[in-house]
Amino acid sequence: MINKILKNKTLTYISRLIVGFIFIVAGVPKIANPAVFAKSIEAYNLFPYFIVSASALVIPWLELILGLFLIFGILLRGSSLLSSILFFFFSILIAVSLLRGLSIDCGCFGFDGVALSWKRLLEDVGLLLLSVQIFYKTKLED
Amino acid sequence: MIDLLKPKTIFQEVIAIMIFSIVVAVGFNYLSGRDIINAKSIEKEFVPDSILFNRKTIVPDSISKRGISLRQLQTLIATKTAVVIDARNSEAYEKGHVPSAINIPFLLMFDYIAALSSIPTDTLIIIYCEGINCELSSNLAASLKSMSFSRIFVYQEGIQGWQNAKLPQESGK
Repeated sequence: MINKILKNKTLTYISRLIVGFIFIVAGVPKIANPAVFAKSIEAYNLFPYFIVSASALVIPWLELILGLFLIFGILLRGSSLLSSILFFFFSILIAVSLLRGLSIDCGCFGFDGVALSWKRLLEDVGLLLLSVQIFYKTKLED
Repeated sequence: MIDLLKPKTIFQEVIAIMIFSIVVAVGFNYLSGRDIINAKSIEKEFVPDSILFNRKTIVPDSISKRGISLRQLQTLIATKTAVVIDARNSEAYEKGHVPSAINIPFLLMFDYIAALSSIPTDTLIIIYCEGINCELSSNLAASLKSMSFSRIFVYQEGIQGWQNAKLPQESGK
């Protein structure tokens, strides 16, 4: 059953569109205002400045490029693996921050004024599962 | 040698995407001409951790004028290593303030001389007021420096910065 779902071609297309669209929507406002995104990363109170700066510079572009690659089917194996790694990392980061009791902006879509929540974590886990599905399917097609 | 233009393995694809993203990001940052994200500019804005969190360090004049970041303020409050002063009037303070902050309104500071004199002069003191455009905190900092307090910094974003981050506040006296 699970194997059948993972191999479903239509689901893979839908997953690529959903994850790709979310990446583009998340990446563009951060590219427009990386300093605000840097502040959001800083609020997690986990990373030194050079990581905050480097992440604020590169992650938005990585998101936009991954979004376009997933939608247009470019380097799909690498894109879906990177997408899975990113959502895995984001999920861990959100979970740890919630457990630490931090009440900060998520920074998921730039500064959107939406606080970290278990709902956000659930969304990220959902996107992680979709990314894993894309990766599994494209790897099978090798 | 990895052929990044025609990646064959998954690993090569991942490396190619990463390098492409970094090149585009750095290139855009450079070509846009805006100092959109510069590690040094962020770092220069705030007091370095090495000075802020080390009680024995003498604070150079050039550093003492810098503010502290929200992250640094949160750490100082969590570790209880600083006296946090709210320089606004008592009505604003009672409405909502940073947890554990005490209220010393700049305009009434001489009423608080007895309380201030009980604080050792090498205590780390953080002062804030309403926000970036408010001068009460920097005025109070200047006054306290003239009273021999040596480790005073301002949290320039003030209560607005704290509220924007949706951090919990305390209310009342």
